[in-house]
Amino acid sequence: MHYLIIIFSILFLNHSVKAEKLTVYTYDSFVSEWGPGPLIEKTFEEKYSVDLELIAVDSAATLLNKVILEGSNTKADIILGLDMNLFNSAENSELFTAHNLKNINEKLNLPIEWNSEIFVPYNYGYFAFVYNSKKLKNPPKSMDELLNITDARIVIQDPRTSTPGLGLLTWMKILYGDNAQENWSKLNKKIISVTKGWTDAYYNFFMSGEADIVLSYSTSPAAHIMFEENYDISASIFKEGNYLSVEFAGILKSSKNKKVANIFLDFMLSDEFQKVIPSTNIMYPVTNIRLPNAFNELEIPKALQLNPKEINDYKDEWINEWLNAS
Amino acid sequence: MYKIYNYIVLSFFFLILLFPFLGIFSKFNYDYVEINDFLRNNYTKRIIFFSFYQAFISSLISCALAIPFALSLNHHKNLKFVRIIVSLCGFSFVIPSILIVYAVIKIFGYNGFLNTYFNFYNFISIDSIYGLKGILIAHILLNTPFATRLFFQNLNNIPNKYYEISSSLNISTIGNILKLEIPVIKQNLFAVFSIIFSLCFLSFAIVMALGGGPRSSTLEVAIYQYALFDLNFNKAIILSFIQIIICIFFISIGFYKFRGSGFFEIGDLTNKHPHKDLVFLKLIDFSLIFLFVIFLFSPIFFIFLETLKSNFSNIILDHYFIAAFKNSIIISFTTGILVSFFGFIISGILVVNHSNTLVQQTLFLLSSIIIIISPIIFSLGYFIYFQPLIHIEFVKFIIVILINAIFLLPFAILIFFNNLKNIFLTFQDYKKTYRINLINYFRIIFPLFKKNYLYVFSFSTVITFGDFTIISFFRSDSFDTLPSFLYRLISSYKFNEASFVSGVILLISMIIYFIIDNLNYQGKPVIKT
Repeated sequence: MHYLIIIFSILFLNHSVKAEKLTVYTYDSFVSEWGPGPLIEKTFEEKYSVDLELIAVDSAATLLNKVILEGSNTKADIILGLDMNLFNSAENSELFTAHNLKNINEKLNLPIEWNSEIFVPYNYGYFAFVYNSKKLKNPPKSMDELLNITDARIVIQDPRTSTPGLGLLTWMKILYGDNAQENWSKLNKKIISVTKGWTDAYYNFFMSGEADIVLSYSTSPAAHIMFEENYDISASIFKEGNYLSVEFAGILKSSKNKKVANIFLDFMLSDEFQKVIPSTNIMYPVTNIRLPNAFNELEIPKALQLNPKEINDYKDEWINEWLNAS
Repeated sequence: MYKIYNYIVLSFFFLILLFPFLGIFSKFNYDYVEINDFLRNNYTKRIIFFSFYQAFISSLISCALAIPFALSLNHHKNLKFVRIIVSLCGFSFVIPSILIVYAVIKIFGYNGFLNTYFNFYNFISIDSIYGLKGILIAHILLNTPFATRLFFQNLNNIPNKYYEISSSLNISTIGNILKLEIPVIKQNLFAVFSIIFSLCFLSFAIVMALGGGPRSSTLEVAIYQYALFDLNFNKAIILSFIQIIICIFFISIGFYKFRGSGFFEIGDLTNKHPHKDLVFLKLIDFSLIFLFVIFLFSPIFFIFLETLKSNFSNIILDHYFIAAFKNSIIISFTTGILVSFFGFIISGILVVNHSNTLVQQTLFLLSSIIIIISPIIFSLGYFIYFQPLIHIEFVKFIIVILINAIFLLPFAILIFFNNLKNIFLTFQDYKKTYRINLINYFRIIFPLFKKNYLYVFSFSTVITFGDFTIISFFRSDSFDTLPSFLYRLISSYKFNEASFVSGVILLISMIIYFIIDNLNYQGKPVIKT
């Protein structure tokens, strides 16, 4: 009988001390072995005794579609990886709830002011066309040059599934307005493939030599400097400016772990989280922390950004323009 | 008593056809202006044009290449290796298309085998495989062997008497080819062309992975993209209707007659071609066979070689691989069991009711409707209808198995029906005379259709095992089958792991296929329609 009581007690104890679980949907490169996911998961689990499950969805822009489709049945507590181009549609989806973090602007160091009470930013960067300076002798210095002069095989991402893809769509719109479709036609002649996500474009096409230029981030060369001491990979800083991308996370209304979810959002702004970002997600941190030396080699572009509401209102129309021009 | 069965079967068919349409119509927005705008949109027109264009070019080249290959094989059909080649040609009908995608990237891609080792003085100079070029290569690799097998069947059916007559008339070898063999191919050319055209028109994995974006998109891929990328079900539904109309046209030109019918039927191969020993013909034929085998079966050779080279210790214990493997086995074998069982039951009911023309014709009509609607449209309908439950893994299993089974049932009925009808007509009187009960009657007749049963089971299993279209709608990071897992590996730059996974898919598909093909060689073929 005593043994039974001991066994039951152990089982009960085991059950009662079992860590709370927090499920985060994010994009594939975030959880890859070289991404920030594994390090962040380890630190967060050790610090808060929470079982953190990072689930990778193919590409960032499909994150929102996934939770819209899953609705209140989703097992995710947090969506991490949306960017400013999806800000308004995420807000309008009414799937997210307000966080309880206070005075986050005091901690933030962003090129824009952050006003949302629902979403919390965790890194930012600028979309840029990345190339190998050893192979591409005359890299474009402006979007105009890229469209009209540069002779290269380019790979971009689909704006319907990928945040860089959507970023390029809005970038073209901010630069060319009503003439965007005409300029898309010019660009499309040089595009050899439109991939679903960033990983496919960067590794399968650009790094393997199949494409000369890839749509990525102005910070991408830092990864090659840090890990390969390769200074050949460069990003084009356009004289018109590069489109700004601020990535953020939000808590879902359907989450049953809102308390832990808020702890995670707060953790995102901690030094432990932020110092991992530049060397793993190869983006700028959103707080004032010291950047790796490789980032000193990078030029900071002029930030371009459209109003998120305008993006949400006209996104379908702009995608249609892009499709018609392809 | 049978009447109840009739209504159960009819209601079952109605229900499974109803679900996708309920899903589709529940999400359809009947805004005339929007529909009109979408139909007038240049991109919509381009997708429709490109769907036809790529299918036309692919089938044209596939048929053009298959004719000389089939002629050469037919000249030496008594040789054992020719028999193996003919067998392998049939494999192209069941090979998972995602394997062709993988092989095309690895052989013909920018960093592929050809460009790396044979690009002397920039002679080949492959810039990029993506787009029409990639789609065409993949479709040719997939369909030329298939067309070859169909042409070979036609050539093999030329009676020996005809050759004897031509020999007595002193007609030369070339004359024989031109006057006897080419006309036989010509007779069947349009039918073979339309089958391949339809297969290319409905091709999904190849266009999705090798199309290189919206520029080279087809209706199938666009339906998927509008539904899952844009969440714009309206556009996906409009395109689905356009596709259904086009498919009805295919059916009317005889596609239905061919789907699932005598694909694998090969007659007696012991006949010797009268000109097989001519030296110049041998030289030409063997050179052609060698070149074609190297080109057309390069994906199979390459996948096996790459699998042997791959470091599979990394992936074999990977839980994603194990889960995908387990899912593939469960889904394909359950589908195989369901299709063979229900195919048999439905065919049995059709046979028992052979005098009730209305029930029989309604059932045949309903199964034809299933063939008209492509898997992508069914998947879209079920996806919309079961959306609130779609995240539950068990529901996904059921839906994926159900859609696969729905598509294979018409073929199963086609295969079972004639044989069962003959058995029924032969043995029904004995049953009545000796008052044999149903169970004993089944025991007596089972050996007579055992082969059909095994055939339907293996065919359904192998087709489901390689499915990429249906699973694309329902896959998630925690729910993959081997083909969708392979696609994920390819698009995340994990080619070592992809090599191993493609090898596993190829090996399993081949084992099941050879069971099927062997059934055709052992005496009487299983399919006689």
